[in-house]
Amino acid sequence: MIRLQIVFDHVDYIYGMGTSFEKHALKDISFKIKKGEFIGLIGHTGSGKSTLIQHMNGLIRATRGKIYFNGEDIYEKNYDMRSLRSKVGLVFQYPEHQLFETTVYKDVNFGPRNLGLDKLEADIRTYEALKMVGIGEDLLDVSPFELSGGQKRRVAIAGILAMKPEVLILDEPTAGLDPKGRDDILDQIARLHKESNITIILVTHSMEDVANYVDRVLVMNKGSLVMDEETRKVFARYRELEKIHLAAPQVTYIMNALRERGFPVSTDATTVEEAKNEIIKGIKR
Amino acid sequence: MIRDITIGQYYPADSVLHHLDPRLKLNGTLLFIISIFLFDTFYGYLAVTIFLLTVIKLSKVPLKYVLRGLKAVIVILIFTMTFNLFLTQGDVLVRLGFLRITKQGLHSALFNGLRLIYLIMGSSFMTFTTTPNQLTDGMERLLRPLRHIKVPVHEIAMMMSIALRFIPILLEETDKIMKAQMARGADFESGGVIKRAKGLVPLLVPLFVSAFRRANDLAMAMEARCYRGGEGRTKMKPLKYSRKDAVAYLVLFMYFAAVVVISIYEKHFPYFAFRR
Repeated sequence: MIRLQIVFDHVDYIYGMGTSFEKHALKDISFKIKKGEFIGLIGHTGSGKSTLIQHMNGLIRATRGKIYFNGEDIYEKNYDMRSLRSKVGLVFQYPEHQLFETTVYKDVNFGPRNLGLDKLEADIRTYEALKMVGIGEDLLDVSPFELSGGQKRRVAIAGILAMKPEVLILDEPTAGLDPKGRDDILDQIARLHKESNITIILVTHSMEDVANYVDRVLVMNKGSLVMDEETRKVFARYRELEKIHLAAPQVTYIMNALRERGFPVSTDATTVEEAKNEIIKGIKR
Repeated sequence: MIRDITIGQYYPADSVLHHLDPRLKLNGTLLFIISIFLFDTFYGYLAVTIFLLTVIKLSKVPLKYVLRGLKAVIVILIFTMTFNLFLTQGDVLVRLGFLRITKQGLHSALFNGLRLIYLIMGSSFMTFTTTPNQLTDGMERLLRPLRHIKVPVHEIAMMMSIALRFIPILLEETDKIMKAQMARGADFESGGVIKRAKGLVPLLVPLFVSAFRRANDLAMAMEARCYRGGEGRTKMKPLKYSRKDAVAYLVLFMYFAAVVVISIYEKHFPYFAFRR
């Protein structure tokens, strides 16, 4: 049985109600997420992506509407918000800014310790999480402030992974990293998804990342959810994406251009690898 | 939660007060504060209240927003009022065990509480209606005479404007870090004093780190634009008084005169009760 894990039911969020800062940040958002999905959340700056994901672990309370996690209404009176936060791991933008401990090890250990686990279990999770993000044992006792940018980010992500969440939400995990660091982190996330089958929601600006990793895409524009479809189908609507200041991956444009000039390729390809195969097929034809 | 702190914040709106010269607003605030502390008579306060309400109305800042600013000082307010209420000597009204409430105590608790509230509200109006840049421009201009006794006026003004500019940024940062740590299971709300104080470490350390990082970045950006202090520096928008400001000054002085007259009158003819 495929379980519905997260359900948003007509969620509205209005920020700064009754002042001149008032902003309707989320408008009537409804969607369902199944366990084990790899979802991409895209949208222009200020479209409400970050606000949306903060609703998922109860950091922001919706003005109207309901949110269900594993079938339970999270706004129910006796709902345990802290347990929700341990099950829905949220990695904020620039997560390295939240590092505070004296050593890498202690910082990653913070989350599991807060869960009230015994020391052994917390330690095991810490080691596992650090291993998952590729931080070697030689760095365990180093101050997190002495690491490089990419390493800091991975330590911060490990801090969330150590809580063993059922859902992992990452808000632009690759912003400000070099291409190598970017690929490393995304590959590790993809591997995590494959190995432990956790649900992943990736907020990103990069259409290439979406094409390479994501199964289904949610598109936000000015607080509304405008598309909720399979990745391929979303990119096929690239004209609409352009209207809301987004775009399809470059490959999509190349394939469409080739096709317009009469070259026999399918425009479905969204990754470089697929495009390559399509073009080779086209040449052989 | 953290956004509830409204003191020192700018509230964007298109009102008469927003368009007045910052120097006028600085002088006005000063005058208002003096008027609160000079007088302690009933009708004097009535005049102050009317003036404050008019200012609130004119500024187009919602009353709810103004009152929210008081939340931050509620503890001080309660302290002041309690001490005034129980520790003032005079004619006893009520006895509660070893505590006594006197007529004078009630009077001073009420008026000192009101004074504090008005002080906060009055001075927050300066920042509600004036952008930090305007504010420091005004301050720099008003303090300019002090340059003759070697006070680094421009530098002080610049420091002020940076400090003011950083208030909302750091508040936002605090909010963000708090959320990030809550996502990792941190608890800022429950437990005793010691547990709570310890709980602040995951918030304060990243906050300090980020404040230093921002300060560093800002210093670098200023350096890159060849900032070198006040000597010979000109303004893109020099301050100029307009007719509106003249009218406002007139209103301000009339208000002040009215309060003075009322207070003197009441002191000499104390028929309206409510006297010490």
